Amino acid sequence: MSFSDILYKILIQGGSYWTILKGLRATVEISCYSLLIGTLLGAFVCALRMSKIKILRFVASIYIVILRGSPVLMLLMLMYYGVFARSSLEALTIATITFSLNVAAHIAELLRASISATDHGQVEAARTLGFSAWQAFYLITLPQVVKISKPVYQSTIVNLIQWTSVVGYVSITDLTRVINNIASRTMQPMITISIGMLIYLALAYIVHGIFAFTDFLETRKEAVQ
Amino acid sequence: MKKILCLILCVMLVSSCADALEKRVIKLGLLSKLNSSEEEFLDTWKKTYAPKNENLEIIVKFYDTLNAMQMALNAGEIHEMILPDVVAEYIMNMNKEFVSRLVLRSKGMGLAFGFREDSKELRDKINEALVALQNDWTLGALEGVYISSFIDEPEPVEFMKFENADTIRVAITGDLPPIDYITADGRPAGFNTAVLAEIGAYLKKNIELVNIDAGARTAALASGRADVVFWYEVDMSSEIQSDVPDGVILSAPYFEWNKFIHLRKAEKDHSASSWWSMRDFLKLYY
Repeated sequence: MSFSDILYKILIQGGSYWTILKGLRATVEISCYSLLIGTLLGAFVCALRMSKIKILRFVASIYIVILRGSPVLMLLMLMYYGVFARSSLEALTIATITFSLNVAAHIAELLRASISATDHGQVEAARTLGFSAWQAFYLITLPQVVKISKPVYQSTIVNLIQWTSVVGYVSITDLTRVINNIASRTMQPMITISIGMLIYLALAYIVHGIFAFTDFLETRKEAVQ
Repeated sequence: MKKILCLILCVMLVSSCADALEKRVIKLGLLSKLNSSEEEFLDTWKKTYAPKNENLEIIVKFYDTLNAMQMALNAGEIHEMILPDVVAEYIMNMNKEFVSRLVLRSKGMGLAFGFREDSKELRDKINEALVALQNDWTLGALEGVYISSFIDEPEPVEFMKFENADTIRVAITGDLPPIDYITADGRPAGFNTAVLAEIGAYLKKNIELVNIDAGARTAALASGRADVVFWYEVDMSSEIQSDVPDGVILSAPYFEWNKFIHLRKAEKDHSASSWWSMRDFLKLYY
């Protein structure tokens, strides 16, 4: 069998491309929802972590330590086959909850590190000039936090996309699962898995491209000003 | 001069003897067993197939999926993979890089459905259905279609729907072609699903298939996410341990085979693979 025949069998025959696209959609869906919820939850956990109330700081610290320190596959199995075993929630929802919880812990620490890296004197100066606490945060701290955390946030997104490859354990047919199924059926694991890797790489580069584009817009905006 | 020559000859003789006595390591790949470690499995296996050749050391490695095992073989991590004959034949047909060595067993192995311990009623019903399917030759006919003629990749079966009937959730791995695989359009197929469709029709129950990783089979069963899991490997002769973890009960076997095939990479120069010659191989098993 020639290489093109193998590729045809892996990618085209019997509508394989459509199955791959459906798997890709599951991966992207879980990643996007988890990122959205994880970012909001991460900001909340970060607020708790930086709170003046000791007990809140302690709770947030425990959350971060546990979630960052445990493998995401174990957490997913625990949630799906344990915590939500008797619930009617769909596997996709449970996976989204799990990845949101996990990514929130990472984002909380990222935001805390970024906020700590900003100069607190600037906020004090703003407050002296009559800015409210919210205005000082929104206009002075937040833009700097966004700028500082952007590169790490980008790699967190790429990591999140890669972490979702374990959802096959909880009956979700994502990109990795589809690739494995095709490899099992065609008995060409090397080529099939290489194709899968290229798709994941493309996703990572799309994320990279989006961030590069926002950087470009920012630079242009600054140049106009 | 004579002394030096004599010494050199002695050294050569000793070193060649040492080479001959040196143990050769053979690494064999198997699909993961759910109830034993690699070492435990090897111990039991050795009791059955005690190596007759003292210079051979066998190492067994478990892999969760066929893909992982095949890639390990490609990478040289294992020398051969041991598979049921039907699966090995499917692989050889799909990928010409592999060649086989046949191993005959006196008694066969089988595949069975797995249930939770508290699902004895469901297990008995499915056993009853299996007996009926065997008696009316349905199982034999399905074997003919899905196993003997797997090259044609038969279309996946359609499951009958029964209104107001219970649904049995069945976890499948899609990782044991042609018995259990997923078609190009993402539908579970193979002998297993065909048997299941017949069981559903016999019991007048709806069947829902859930595709999971092989490693999550027991978790799916224990958590109640699945009522039935296939497949579990059963040794019909009880010579080696059946692949059944604690808390899992099995149905009667619905498919049996009595041949295992050692699959290895086809090499142009067969002399290069003399580390594991046919003579060694025969000494291991016979």
